[in-house]
Amino acid sequence: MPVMTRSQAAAASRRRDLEARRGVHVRTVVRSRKPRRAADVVVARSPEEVKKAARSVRRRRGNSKATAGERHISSLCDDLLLQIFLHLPSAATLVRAACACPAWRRGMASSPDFRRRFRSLHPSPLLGLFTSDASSSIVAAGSPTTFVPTLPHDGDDDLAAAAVHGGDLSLTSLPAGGWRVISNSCRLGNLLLHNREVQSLAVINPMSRQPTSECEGGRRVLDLASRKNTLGGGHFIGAVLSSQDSSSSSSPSSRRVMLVDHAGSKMKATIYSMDTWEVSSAAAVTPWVDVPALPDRVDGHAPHGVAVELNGSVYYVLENYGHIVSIDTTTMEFAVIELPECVSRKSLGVGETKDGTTCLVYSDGRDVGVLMHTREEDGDAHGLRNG
Amino acid sequence: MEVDKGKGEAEETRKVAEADRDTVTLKSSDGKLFEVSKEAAARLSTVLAGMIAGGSIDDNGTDLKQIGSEALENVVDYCNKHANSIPSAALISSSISFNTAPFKEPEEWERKFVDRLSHDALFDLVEAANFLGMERLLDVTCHKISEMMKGKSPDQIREVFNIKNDYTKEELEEIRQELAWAFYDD
Repeated sequence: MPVMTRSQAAAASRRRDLEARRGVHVRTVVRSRKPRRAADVVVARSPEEVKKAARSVRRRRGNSKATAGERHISSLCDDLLLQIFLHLPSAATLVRAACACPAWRRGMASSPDFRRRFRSLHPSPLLGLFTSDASSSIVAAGSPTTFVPTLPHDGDDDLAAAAVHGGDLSLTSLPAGGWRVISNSCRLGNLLLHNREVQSLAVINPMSRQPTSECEGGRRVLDLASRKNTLGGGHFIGAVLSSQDSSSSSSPSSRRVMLVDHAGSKMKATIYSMDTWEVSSAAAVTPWVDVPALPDRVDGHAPHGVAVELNGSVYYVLENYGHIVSIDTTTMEFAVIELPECVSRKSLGVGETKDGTTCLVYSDGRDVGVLMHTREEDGDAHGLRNG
Repeated sequence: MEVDKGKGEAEETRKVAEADRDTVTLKSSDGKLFEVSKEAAARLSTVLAGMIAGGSIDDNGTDLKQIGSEALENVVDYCNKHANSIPSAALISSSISFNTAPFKEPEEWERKFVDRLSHDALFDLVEAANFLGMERLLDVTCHKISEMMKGKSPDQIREVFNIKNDYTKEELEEIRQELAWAFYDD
């Protein structure tokens, strides 16, 4: 067996610890775990050692009476602190710990690996859902959007309480009025809401408490009438974008929304900053682009579509349209993806697989199928499973 | 007796004796010696396992310069208790659950073991466990410290660990707004 230095072994141990937490079992040093008779493992101590041990126990007991000893928790290195935080029971406790000490918070914030591990050990529970379905009996009169909580989770009281106290699930920070959730557009904890009466758009993170007044130097609401939309008679759809790059994920400037305008056979995309509702850059707005065969009306109605951002592209999915339009959020280029015949008249959804691959889910009410998009022209992997 | 024997033969005897020993001797930073079962040391500490396998164990006390005598005593104590507390059935089931469970709750004796420690001793032990690559002891000690934060407000956490409040009111308010990252951020 190769000799391991202490640091190598310690690194290996940390690595293994990490792997174990991720559910991958790797052991570099394997020893027999055969049960041994107790007699084999009793440690012989010299009388001198026993005395020493007794002395040190007495000393320790003396110390333990003091609430604040010589050592302070801040003397532990960041790695060990993070290791401790991984054992916290919920994200709410983690946030409270972050509120106790700025250095702790910096430690948590500067380690994406820690956050990833924490999330995988503490999966976010489903607290409830927002609905704007006018036909639903659970929607309260006067407010078209209602939060419907799930039943309390075992052991998650902590988190549910924190969410209720810390969050704004009744959306009180929005101006009063008929705000409706734009379905499928919500991402990263942000709700995108549309108010038809006052022709406005707003984004809100219901898990964070926000000032009810106007943001300093920014607007909470986008006035749709103020947008220079030269083609009349169209409609739009919005999508909350994930951050431009992972390193700036907590920077407010990276929180953006793309609006896709659709009028006739033409489309246009614009990216706004979520906090100011300014167009985020000169390159963040496209001219009107002609998209072949884009249906202006489907069965006499404006087409029902959703826009979803995945892996740096916004996918505009229209029902009963044999294509999907994608817009690259970096280059702002449009691409039209032709759908196979088998899905063209079915109900569609775009999402990601567990490993982050973009896929298309379709259903005809009986079967559910998944399509994976590949770069090759003819390389669409096609798997169909009865649902 | 050894005087009568040839040098090579004596050397051989010594080697055999070393290989046969059931224990290893560890030396703390302040020069105190502790003996621990070789089997337990190798099973519980990746670092000691590496040293035993690599033959870098010193019969007169392997220097662990980073670990004070109190922490080392606790480490040795843990190894002994661990070795004694594992009957065959528990050992088998624990090795199975280890593959899947992210963290197995401390057993009763482990809980008692860390509960009697002062903050000082606990922090020293966390560092010692980390240094020696003692995965389970590191988990148990970290878990104990995390329990001191559980269910407490930021103020209470500061009190427990004697932390000065370095936050301004505005900063704390800002964190409340950033609460979302703990749930959704990449």
